Amino acid sequence: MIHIKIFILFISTSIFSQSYQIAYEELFTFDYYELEDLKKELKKKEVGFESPTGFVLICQNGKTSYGKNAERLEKSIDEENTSSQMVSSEVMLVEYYKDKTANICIDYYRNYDPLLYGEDVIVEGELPTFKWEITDIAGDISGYKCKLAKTTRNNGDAIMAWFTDEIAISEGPRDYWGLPGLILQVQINDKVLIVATAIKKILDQKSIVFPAKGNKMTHKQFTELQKELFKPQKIVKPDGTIIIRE
Amino acid sequence: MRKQYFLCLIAVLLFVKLQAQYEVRGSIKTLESQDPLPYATIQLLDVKSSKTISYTTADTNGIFNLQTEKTGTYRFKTSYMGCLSFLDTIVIEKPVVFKNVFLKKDVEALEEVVLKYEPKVMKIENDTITYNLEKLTTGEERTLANIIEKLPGVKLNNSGQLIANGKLVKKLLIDGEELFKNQHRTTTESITAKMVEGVRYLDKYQDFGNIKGFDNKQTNALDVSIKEEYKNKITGDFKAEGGHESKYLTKTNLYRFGGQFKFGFIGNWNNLGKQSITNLEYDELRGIGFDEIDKNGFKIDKTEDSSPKFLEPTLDIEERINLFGALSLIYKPSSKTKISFLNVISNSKQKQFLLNNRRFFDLPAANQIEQRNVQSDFLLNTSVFEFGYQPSSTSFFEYIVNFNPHSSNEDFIITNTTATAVTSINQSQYNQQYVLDQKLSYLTNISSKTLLKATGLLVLDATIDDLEIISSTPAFLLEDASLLEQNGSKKRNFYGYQLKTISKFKKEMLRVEHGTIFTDTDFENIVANQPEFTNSFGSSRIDSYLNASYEGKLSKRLIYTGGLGYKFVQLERFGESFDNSFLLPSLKIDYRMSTSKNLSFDYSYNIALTVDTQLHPNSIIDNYFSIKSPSQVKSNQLLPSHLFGLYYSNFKIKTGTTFSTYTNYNYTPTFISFNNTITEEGIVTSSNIIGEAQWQWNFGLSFDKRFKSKLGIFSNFSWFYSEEPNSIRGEQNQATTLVLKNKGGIYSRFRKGVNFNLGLDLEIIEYTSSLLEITNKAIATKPYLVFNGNLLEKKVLWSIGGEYANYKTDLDETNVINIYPKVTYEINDNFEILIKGNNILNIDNAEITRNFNTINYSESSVVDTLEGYIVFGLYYRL
Repeated sequence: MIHIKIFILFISTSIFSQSYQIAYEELFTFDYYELEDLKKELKKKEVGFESPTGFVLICQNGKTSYGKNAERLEKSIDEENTSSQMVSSEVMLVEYYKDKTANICIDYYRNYDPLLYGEDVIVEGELPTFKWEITDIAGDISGYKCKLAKTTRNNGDAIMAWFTDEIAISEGPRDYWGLPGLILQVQINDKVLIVATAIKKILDQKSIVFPAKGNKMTHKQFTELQKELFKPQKIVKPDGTIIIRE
Repeated sequence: MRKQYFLCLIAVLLFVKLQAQYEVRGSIKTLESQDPLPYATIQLLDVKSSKTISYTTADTNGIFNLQTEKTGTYRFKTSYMGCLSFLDTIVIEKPVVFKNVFLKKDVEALEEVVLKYEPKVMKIENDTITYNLEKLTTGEERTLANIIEKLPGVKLNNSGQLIANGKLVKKLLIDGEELFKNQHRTTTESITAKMVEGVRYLDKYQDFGNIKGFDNKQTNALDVSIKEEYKNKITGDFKAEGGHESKYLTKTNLYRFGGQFKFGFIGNWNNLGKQSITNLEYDELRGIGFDEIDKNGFKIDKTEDSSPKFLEPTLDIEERINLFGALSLIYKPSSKTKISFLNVISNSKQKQFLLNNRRFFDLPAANQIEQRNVQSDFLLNTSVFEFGYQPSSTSFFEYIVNFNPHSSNEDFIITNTTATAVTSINQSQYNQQYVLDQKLSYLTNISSKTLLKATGLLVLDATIDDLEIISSTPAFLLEDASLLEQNGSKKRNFYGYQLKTISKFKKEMLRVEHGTIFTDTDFENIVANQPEFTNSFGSSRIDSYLNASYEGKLSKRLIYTGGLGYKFVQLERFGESFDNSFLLPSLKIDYRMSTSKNLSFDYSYNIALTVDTQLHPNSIIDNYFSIKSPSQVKSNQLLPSHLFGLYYSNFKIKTGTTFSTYTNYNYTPTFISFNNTITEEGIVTSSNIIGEAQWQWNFGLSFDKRFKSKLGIFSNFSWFYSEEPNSIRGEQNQATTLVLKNKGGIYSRFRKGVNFNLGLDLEIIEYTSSLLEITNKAIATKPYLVFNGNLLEKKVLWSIGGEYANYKTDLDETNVINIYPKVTYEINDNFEILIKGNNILNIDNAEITRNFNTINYSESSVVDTLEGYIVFGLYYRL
């Protein structure tokens, strides 16, 4: 059942300062679920801007940020520091910042790999260029007419994005962007589903601040760092706990 | 300088204009205050379907530039959050159209919206795999073949065919077209690496002629895209090499990509000895357009239709001069029509020298030492013309003509020494064949669920086989037989029709086929003055069949295909007429464990009839020491067979690790066997008899594991075992053959430094006869090691390889050390020089040892193999 709640807010007189927030949920199949199972998982969740597991995309004057809610963030960092013995690299706490005017995209890792590195990392590069193929396939997402677009990333990942031009923001979750409308859903291979769950306009015109604190590096340098950190090794924590990285 | 600058500027402008011919330029502002709207979205939509043709976003000043490739009328849509969208019609006729848009504020646009919906999940079946060439290649690659070596799960097999993720690649597309059909090796060696933009594997590629909603032309393909700068012009390269000892090579590849008309030409003239086309590649060429019919109804006996024996891969060649040419033309004037023409010509002149030690198991007194010099001239030519017309998405018309003439001329000079005599023999063998195949078919959907295909077929096949033997003693001890001339001819014409329907349901598919083929054959074989060798007979045959196969799903992963065929055969030959009908079941089960793991099983039952040439009532001379005696097989003999197969494959795209294994078991309760006898003079006579219970089992396993794309380990192992009863001098014999092959090793793919490839190629063949209580074995062991690297920022590429080949039979043993160095230097984008060698330690001919077994005798031969060479070359790229 499609369910829409509408609240009327005050009209802003200045279009220049319009900013929008979109809440997303990210769902992963790992090796246990199939994509169909993620639909059931989504139904059980508390979604929207109050979601404890959700992400938020903020769009303002050609700049965007995408990441977890700040207060949710603190909780996530704490949880990771007391996590179980196996260190997984499947889900990273990463925020994305895009600036269309300056053609910059930043991947921001807070407290990257806390066991072995434990520092913030700012990976800066150009805005990724996606060769979107807009298909004939159309659909409806919560009353918005959507179309399906496909592309393939440089690493071979197959991306399928549902977007609507009824919301004229050429943006999407993570570093996805560039379609003639807001991306409401992204599917990455058979592994990841990112789903928009709420949209609102924000009156508070606080500008998006790009991260400045952290180790700055290029994508190539970051890849080298990852290789070094994620090679198989045994880590002995100060408290004597042994972590095996495979 | 200024002049050059302006010329460059004009060239750039022209280039830009060619890329995107039409533009819509303008600005987006608010209606009320004329303020620019940064990052507003602008789209061109199809008027009827609202499909997005082109789109862009405005810059920070609200200025936009939207490009499209075609003129026409479109819907023009502009959107901005907080404003009402603007939708208009726009006509694009000129290169630049200006359009300024003013958007009205949307007073109702402010709301918080909670989206609750069921996500749309798309099944990605990995039917398209895009290879990241930047990651996989090192920049040292010179040809498409070099690139393909680096792609995980993709390789060229020994027969020159591409295999991707365990499956045979049916189409190799270059710039969207299959230029040289299934000549994968030839094509990949002729496309330069610099031309290649990208490579994709398409598991569900729909070729021209596919009917909407059906998979009639769906197959798998490796799609190679070509860079724009190489399109719409003639591109290619030339190569010339020459060196010691009197070695030369000239080669050219020319292409035209892009646009409605594409062509490719490959020319190669050399005496370096490499075979220009293999027997499997030739079979693939001949079978273009006819696989379906052969598979479903008209089972052509392989003994009648085998490819020329001079195409069989062999090392026992002393010298080979090759002239090879391939021309491909493809013209697509519209999306509905396609015309293509392919011509392949190959001419090889060869010399062989062999020293044979022929041992007769049953009659050691007849053992022979034989010195054989052979000079051969082979010519083959294949022309394929295809015309396709698809007036709508629901129908397709196709006409294919395939013309294959070939000829071979072999002269043997033989000195044959036995315990009692020395005989000199000259044998000349001339064979000429042409086959003309024509197929006309029409497809249409007769309902939303059913496709109908009607096909008409006509094949004309004629062969001449002449043999002349001049012997210092009467050949075969026949009177007046110092000169024997045998003239043979064979004609086989068949024509017929096939009707096929494919019905697709939700999860199932039903295929029904009916066809009738009429075949007329004539065979004649005459030896002057020797009436016991005269054969003249013919036959008329009608094959009619009705097959049905049903494909269903027991679950998401388990798919089965069950088939049942009814076949009726009416045959007239040797004054007899008979008819017979059979039921032929088949079953296939596929268990798709995941997108990358597959297990399948299949079984089929077939009944073949004997072919005319297996039933000759009088003798036929085979060669200077063997005769085929009159056949003892009945004209109406049926030959049933059961075939079981089990296959498993697993591949991982990201790591490139592949693993596959298969096993086939073929059991033939009744088959054509031989009864062979040997005379004291060492003449072999063989007659066809019926054998019972032949079985063959083969097993193969291959894996290729890559470690972080830098190191790999691989192995290709195959094991073949057969047991076949036959007769020796009328007594029952059980012959077993075992062939074991393994090629395995380790290799590196470092982006910097030196790479290596270390491995071992092993082949063991063992033959056993129960009656004679003998076992013959031949072993070829070839360890090899190759290093390669680059210098001066990849301007210099070098490689040096070495192979130690040991050939051993029960009688002889030879060793060959083959060193093959190569250095190329890229002078600039167009020119390259090279020096290369092969078998440089054996510039004079090397020798290898070979073994050949029959049920009566074994031959252990020491043969001259290709001599080594060192050549210097110049390469020019257009």
